[in-house]
Amino acid sequence: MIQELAGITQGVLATFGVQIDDVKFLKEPMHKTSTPLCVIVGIVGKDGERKGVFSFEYQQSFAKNVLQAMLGGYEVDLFSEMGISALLELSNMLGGNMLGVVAPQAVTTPPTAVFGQNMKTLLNVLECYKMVFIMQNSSFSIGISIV
Amino acid sequence: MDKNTEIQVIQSFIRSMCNVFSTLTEKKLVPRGVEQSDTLVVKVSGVVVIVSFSGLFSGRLLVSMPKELTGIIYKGLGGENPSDDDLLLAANEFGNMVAGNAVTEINNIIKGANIRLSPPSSFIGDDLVFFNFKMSAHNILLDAENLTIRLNVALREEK
Repeated sequence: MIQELAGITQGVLATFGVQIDDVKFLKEPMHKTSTPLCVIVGIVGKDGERKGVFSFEYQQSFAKNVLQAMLGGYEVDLFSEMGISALLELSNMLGGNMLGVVAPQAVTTPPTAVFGQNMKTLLNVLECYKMVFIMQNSSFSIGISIV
Repeated sequence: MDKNTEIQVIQSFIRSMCNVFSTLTEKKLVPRGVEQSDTLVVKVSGVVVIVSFSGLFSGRLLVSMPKELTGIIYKGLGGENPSDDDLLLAANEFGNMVAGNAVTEINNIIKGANIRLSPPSSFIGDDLVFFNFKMSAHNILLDAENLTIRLNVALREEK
């Protein structure tokens, strides 16, 4: 399943002209973040039973490249309203596309972006599957933890 | 979302926060007031927990507090001398209890609300910045032990 999700992500990124060089898969005992900039999207089952968290963890250089690709080459400050809105929109789109595979009966919650240098996090106490997308010298990770 | 529903939702979160805090710590949490937030950005330091929800309307609860207050909550949960990892777990537990109690009340008083929660996520750090997404938010400041807890509730009506 995780490879299918990686394929979905690469497909979405390709629509903006972003090509991924390599993908790595990790499994971690709890869901934490690895970058100062992260977008969190909750997963909520309609019956209240299935629930979880998607994390979209952007290295700043990756985020800048993706933004430029999304905005047709136009350079925008990553932390401006437009920059953050675009990243939230991309994360929302990726979460929505992956949800059909992960939990078709569930819905996603509105995304929240977080930025904090040296922050410590605990996004979910459940085991987390991570996909690390590598492009040139930057990377982007997606974490999923769901019960 | 009409204004009355919005007020009921915000009041449920405030009541739940005061009740859960007082049950865990045997200390009183006093609300200072509610303000409509005119910015999409929340900047805080200390310990933060967010819990998202979805149903008739969706949104998220954000609670930020100093480490000292999270330590008091941790003690109320039965622990001592917390590490940062312990504080993250305590914040998760606190956020889950506050959101859970509030949502139970909301689902009882608002017909067809059917609000469901995502798992809580917590953060520790200085100068943390949280960005809302197409949602209006309310800020509520509450005092306990000469320290301040911030409750930020962002809401969006589902179409």
